[in-house]
Amino acid sequence: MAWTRPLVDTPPVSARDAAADREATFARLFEEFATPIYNYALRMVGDPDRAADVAQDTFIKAYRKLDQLTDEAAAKSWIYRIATNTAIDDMRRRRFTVPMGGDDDPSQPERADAGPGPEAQVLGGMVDERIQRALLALRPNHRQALLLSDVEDMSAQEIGAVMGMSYGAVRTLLCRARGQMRRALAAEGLVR
Amino acid sequence: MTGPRRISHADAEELISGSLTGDLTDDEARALDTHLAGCSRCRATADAWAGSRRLLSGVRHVSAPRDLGARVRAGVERGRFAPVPWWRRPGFAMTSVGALAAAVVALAVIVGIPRTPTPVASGSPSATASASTSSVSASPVASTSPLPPSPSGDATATAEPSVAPAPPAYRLEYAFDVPGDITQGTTITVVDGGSGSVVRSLHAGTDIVGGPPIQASLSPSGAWLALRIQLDAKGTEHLYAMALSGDTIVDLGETLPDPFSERMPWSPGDGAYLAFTLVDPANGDADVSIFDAAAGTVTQLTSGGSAYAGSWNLTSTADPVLWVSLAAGGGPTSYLVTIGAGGVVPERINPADDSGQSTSVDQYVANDTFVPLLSPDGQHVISWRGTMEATSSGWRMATGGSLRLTGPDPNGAGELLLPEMGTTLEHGFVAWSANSDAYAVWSIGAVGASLVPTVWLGHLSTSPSVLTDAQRLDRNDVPLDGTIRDVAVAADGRHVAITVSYPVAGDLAQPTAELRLVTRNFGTEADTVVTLGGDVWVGPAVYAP
Repeated sequence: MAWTRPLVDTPPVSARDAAADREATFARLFEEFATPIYNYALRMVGDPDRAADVAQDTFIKAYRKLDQLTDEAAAKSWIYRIATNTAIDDMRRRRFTVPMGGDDDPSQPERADAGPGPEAQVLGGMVDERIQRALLALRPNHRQALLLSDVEDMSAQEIGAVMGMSYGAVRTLLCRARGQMRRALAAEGLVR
Repeated sequence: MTGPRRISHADAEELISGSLTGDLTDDEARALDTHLAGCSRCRATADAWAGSRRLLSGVRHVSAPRDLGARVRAGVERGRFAPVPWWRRPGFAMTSVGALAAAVVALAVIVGIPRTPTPVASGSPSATASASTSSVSASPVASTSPLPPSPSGDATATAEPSVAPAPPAYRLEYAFDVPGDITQGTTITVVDGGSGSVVRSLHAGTDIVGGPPIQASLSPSGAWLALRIQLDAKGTEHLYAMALSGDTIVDLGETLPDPFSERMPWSPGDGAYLAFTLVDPANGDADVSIFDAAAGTVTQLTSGGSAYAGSWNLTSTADPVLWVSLAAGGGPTSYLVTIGAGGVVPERINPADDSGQSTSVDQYVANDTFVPLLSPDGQHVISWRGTMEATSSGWRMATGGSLRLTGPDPNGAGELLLPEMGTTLEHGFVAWSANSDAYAVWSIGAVGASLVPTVWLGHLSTSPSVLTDAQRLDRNDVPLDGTIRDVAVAADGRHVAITVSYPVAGDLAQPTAELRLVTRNFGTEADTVVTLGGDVWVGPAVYAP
């Protein structure tokens, strides 16, 4: 799945070096982030086909905005920001419905003992599916923050860069998201 | 040497969360350790959240589709994205030449209106009211009369029957708790406009800061009231959002007085969000913030220091869309910003930089358009145009300032001509009635002219695109020695509630304001005015949406 063929087939001579650099930069980006971005999109939207669309559009946008990436060290937060916005666009277009209540939303009661215990679920090979359902039960911004933190292992500072939020706001958001996630996992019978 | 600071359970939970990603300072880590050592509840939380993190981080990664690279390459080469509304695609951003006329066309498309002229009533039998009756102090009574034709300036018009002023949904009252003694505190009371019963009382010092209310905005659901309070001693204003049932009140912040910032629109439908502008008392920077009523939170939407809330746009999507205007940067420009997309309120964006770059800021831009105010049905917009300059308290029109009313027919757009106000307007206030036919314009300041307490009440059905003396309220409706603080237009477009304040006799004197409930009469009959207050402070008022 490597990115091998230059997109600009016949650049002007004066622009050839710049175009080559651009293609090389994008090839590295695609190689490093194609799978993580697809998985991030999959956890965000919960559907493989839609996740593929989100990943595709993310990289198309990234290619077109590549001039904005002045520091490759910041590439991770940059491309995740594009992916986050693209996933939100996808959810808006498809009228994705998730609980939108506040943190004390009574529509998400704690059901700590619902369903079989974790061991049985592991044996049944359904842990990932239940985690995904728990994720989809969260507000989208809670889901984003948790995925970036616990799956992508980003710091609050990096998450802030992705989500366009301050460091303090991210810490508060993550704290609320963890409480919600714990309740959602309990509802899936994955924790007590 | 001091020990680790003591923290609450709530603080501990935030630190527990931060510890999982290594985001704690040494002081925070020590404070958390100390708290956990003596708190079994938080230890359990720490264990539980660490377990959740292990579960989530252990989720199985899957390979990306094999054809992802080919799809991306094909997409780049085709220059095609996933389906995007046509007006959001590159190339449809407005240009400065003929911007406003084009903006009208685009606005019409965005709000989904037919591009045909609005039918205009012909031969409306009405005329300018010539004089006001004397004011009387009385409780207003409900009007049951149907909406008559609006004034057109036709001198041959026949008189229409007068009706009593309609009571607003709520009015505010402000008074010293002990008459004549400011040291004992002050109270703002929300009064039901129909029954006169007290809905809520807000006490200075405990609920709010002390000062008279000067503006109010009722949410479409009727559940929330946004409130602007004047802080005389500081020369600033303070904004709050309060639930009309229960005791919730949310501090929205302090701002310098600024005519262009005095707009507090609730999002259409359920009123999930309130948009407002704060002008920083420290440096004069103007930025837009959003109050999320469900979450009870306030988020600063913009950065940059010259951003003002315009009004909400009607949209076919579930997420509210707000017009945000920037005064700086080569002339006023307005941008569409999506609020609450996927449950996220964007934070500290610069629409000029983010336009078309992020999911929040739409690529659609209206140049030479400042704080557009859409009618509730989305078919007309009143906006400012002209070049702007910064002052010590926000931005003003400097040259070429004018108000423009635009509608579905781009050829029907026109300046709102305001008699006696000169050619360059500096600032002013505008409001629509819920019927989308009537609109009020008041306290217009013109370059080089003194402010005249005047209110115009226009009606699209009879006087599209023009405001003249025929639309001016009777001169006796608002006393010349008063200052208009707020104007609300009833849903039928004929009743207006005007809050007029008067100079305070001294620092310790009770501020006074009248709520003047005006019924616009026609033909030769003067407007009917009922006055509430005067010895204390009554007003502003809000009508039911």
